[in-house]
Amino acid sequence: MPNVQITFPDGAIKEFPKGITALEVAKSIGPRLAAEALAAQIDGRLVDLSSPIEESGPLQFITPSSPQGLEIYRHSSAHLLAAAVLELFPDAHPGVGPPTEAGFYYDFYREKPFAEEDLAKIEAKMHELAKADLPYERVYYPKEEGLKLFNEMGEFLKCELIEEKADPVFSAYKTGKFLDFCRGPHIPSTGRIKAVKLLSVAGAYWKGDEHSHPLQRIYGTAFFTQKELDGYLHYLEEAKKRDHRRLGKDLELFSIQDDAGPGLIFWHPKGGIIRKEIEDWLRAELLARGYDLVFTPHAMRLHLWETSGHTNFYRENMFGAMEVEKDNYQLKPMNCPGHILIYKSRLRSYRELPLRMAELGTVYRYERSGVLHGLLRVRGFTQDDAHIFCTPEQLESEVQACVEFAFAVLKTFGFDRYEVDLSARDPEHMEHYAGTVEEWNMAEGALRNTLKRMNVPHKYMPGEAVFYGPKIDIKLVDAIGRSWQLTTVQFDFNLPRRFKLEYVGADSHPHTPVMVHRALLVRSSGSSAC
Amino acid sequence: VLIEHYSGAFPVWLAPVQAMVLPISERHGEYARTVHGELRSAGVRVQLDDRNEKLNSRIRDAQLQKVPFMLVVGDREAEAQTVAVRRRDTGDAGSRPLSEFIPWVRQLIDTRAVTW
Repeated sequence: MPNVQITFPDGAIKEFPKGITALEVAKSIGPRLAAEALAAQIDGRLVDLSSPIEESGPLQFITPSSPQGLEIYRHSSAHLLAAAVLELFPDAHPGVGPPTEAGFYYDFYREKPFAEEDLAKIEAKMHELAKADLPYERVYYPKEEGLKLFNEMGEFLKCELIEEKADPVFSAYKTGKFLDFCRGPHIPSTGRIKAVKLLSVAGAYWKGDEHSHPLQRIYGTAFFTQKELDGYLHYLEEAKKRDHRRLGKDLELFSIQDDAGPGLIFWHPKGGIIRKEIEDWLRAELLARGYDLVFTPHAMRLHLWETSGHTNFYRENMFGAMEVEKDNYQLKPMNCPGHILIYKSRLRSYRELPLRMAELGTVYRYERSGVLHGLLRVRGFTQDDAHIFCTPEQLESEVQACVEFAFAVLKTFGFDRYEVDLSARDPEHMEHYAGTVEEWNMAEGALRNTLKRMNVPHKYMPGEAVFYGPKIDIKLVDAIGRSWQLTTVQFDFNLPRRFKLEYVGADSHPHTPVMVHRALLVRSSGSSAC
Repeated sequence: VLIEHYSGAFPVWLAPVQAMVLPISERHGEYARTVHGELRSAGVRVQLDDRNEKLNSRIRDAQLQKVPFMLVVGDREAEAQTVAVRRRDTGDAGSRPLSEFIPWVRQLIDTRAVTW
């Protein structure tokens, strides 16, 4: 039998008979690895441990400590959930069931809704099936034959997926009574699943389309150890206690009223006074830091948003235009064009720069009703929105001042942890971006130098910038470790050009100012805030 | 985010009601109103709870509203011009002369203290 040469992550190369499975290789290395391994990565492809190795190349084992380990484990947990549901409820038809950031879910079509007690039964069945240590068996079907099989089983949702996505020969996984059209990989058997918990059941739609089949989505989570699972459940409990929607009601801070519409916030007296305190502090702070306070209208001609380009790149987040005296007006989704009009109201000299215009600006953004969430995802909110117009020489000191401002906010509100991301361009695709290479170099340089000079640890993310300029995002980490967007310092090479902004330089010639958006989202005290 | 971070227990400068005055019985209403008035003139957001309920249940209500300071006043306090301070986080904090309590709270507000 011919041999294959397998290269391990530490560089060692060993020879094995061709066709050996990854699991057998793991066993040859040690029983501990064989017991820990969840899956394997052969030449960069994630595969089951039972996959035969036919060619020489690199091999790596996926264990609980691998970055992909938990995702595979939770994906297998989702299959375990479906297997348990089919045992107990043969009338349920599985849809899709992926791992998520916090666990996994599986969607089912079933006429009768799942009750709370059903979840406990399903969970008990999952534990039973885990104990039975059922294998995740990978099988292959030619497309036609597979379709026929799933059709005979009555799995109409799976058939639809196979029709759309399957290769001429596709893979499926069998776990107990559950057969799933699935690419894998999976862990070897259900016995590996040690800590799993079902959390809730909610409504969903097939393919997220509200005109399609209504489904029931069962959420769960899984961890490698009971201790980790307990820690997560405790965190959920804490988060629930702190849920601002509940606190907002109990403490009479705010409400959302059906008569007025979803995503629109009413601040009651107690919430109102908090908002006033924050705004007073903020305004004093803005003035002390050399900002000017401005106010701009909430509705402006649609034409303005065509000039700014928002009707192109921001259309889906805008409310529909309204007609007033045969002219179309737009509720503002952003404050920038208003500030630009103030800038443009007369000729500006380099002596006036930097010009820092701030507004506790209320903006209206269209969000689908399904994603609205208390104060956090709303349709109207107030943010401390500022635009800084400056010369290229002033850039670094302005960026630094913005970052310092953000830190002052963190301190004032008692947050001691934060995260910083720097989003830069993808240098391979300059054609996607507004502005010149020189401008991007200058702006990214200013952001990096400032963070470096201030000794701020940050994550550099090339390719993450939006088309009009690079940015820094500062996120705060709250009392229970969740991170929230606090502030963005965002360059804009697009709007100054579109609006033909200028200032007269020391050389008496016109120049284009650099524009920086600075939004302090969090405590904007609007609703995105408190 | 702030609501969730503080779990509704805002620092004094943000708390919608910063102090709740709780007279032990009807007899102490007059002194309670004095305390209430002085705090209000000092710019403290203060409320008086003189409902005809047991003291304990009024304390519990103020606690549920996450009021940072509950000021219990009875005979002894009226006599000595003090207030018996109860914190929402650690409970009983002893008696203080009103003339000391007011500047202390003012300072917590003005410095936007996060802890105290």
